[in-house]
Amino acid sequence: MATSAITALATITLGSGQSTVTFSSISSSFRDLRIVSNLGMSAYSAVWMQINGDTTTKYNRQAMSGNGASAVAQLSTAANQVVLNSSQTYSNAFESNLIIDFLDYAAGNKHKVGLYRRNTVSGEAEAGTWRWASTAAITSITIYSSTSTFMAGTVFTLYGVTS
Amino acid sequence: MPLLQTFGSASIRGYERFGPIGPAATDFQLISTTYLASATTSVTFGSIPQTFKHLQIRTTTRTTQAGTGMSYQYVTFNGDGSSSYSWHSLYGETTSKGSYSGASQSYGWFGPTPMNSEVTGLFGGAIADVLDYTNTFKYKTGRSLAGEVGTTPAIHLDSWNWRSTSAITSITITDASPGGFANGSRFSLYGWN
Repeated sequence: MATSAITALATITLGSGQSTVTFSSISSSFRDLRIVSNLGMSAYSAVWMQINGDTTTKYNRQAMSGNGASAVAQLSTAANQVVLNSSQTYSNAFESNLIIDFLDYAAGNKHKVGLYRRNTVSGEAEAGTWRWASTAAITSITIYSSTSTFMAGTVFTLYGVTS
Repeated sequence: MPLLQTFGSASIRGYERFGPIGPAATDFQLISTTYLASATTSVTFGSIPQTFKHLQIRTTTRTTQAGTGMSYQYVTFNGDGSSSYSWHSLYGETTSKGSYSGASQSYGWFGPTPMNSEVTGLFGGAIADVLDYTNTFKYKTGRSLAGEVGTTPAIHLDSWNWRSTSAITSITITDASPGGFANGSRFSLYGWN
């Protein structure tokens, strides 16, 4: 019997405002991961990501975005987190989609690389690539804001992709 | 193994991997994976089953081309290297942004990939979709999102069109530089409905 190559691993649905969500104890038995979210913030704010609780300056990100008036390319290197937005932040309504891909997340010979797409209807459309300069397998992913909270009803789902 | 974590008033569900959730098991399937143990100029997915609606390609790559910076990779179908491809690209490279296009080209762009003198362990990533690949009434259209964050960081959104109504039976991804893809590069093909 054919087996699905994508498996939903966990869903986090916020019952109240929360500034941080974490997927932990992530199995290394897949090849890639994907996080999908439709989210809103309590106030306009940036959204960041850290891996395995690493707060050191191992994160790098290249993004491009457009808001209808201008296009932006933005680079962040040797940062303490991946910033998942560029010139426009996430808004205070459920009008943002965020998809983050983690490729070869458990490969012991590779820095961890990924892609993301996000859009905020009142803000911008954006795509980016990121790198966590570590060959450690990803076992936890934290998505957070330091200046506001995710609105109640925000949902994050983690998927594993087989290879 | 399920994920179990609660915090505040959030709810969380953990799923055992005992079967698919929602859609049928056949809706997104792995067709094949190639993991390079040595350098090669191109990777071909051949004899692609005609039983899906769309295809997805996922890669992590690096080239053996000497130097720092990025090389490029491109895609062709059914071994066709004739001028049957058109493409558009949006890109962001450090603070530079722009677009470019090509018509009557011999390939479609597949995005950047880091060169050999980049820091050890640095690979680029790409996810591409090819829609309606078996349809014999349509030209074949796809897109890729690819990037790498090395000395010459780049994010590219590419779309391409292969002007053929033939069903796609093979896909070849080629390193544009003379070096070829480095060992450790990974190429996976999925079919989805």
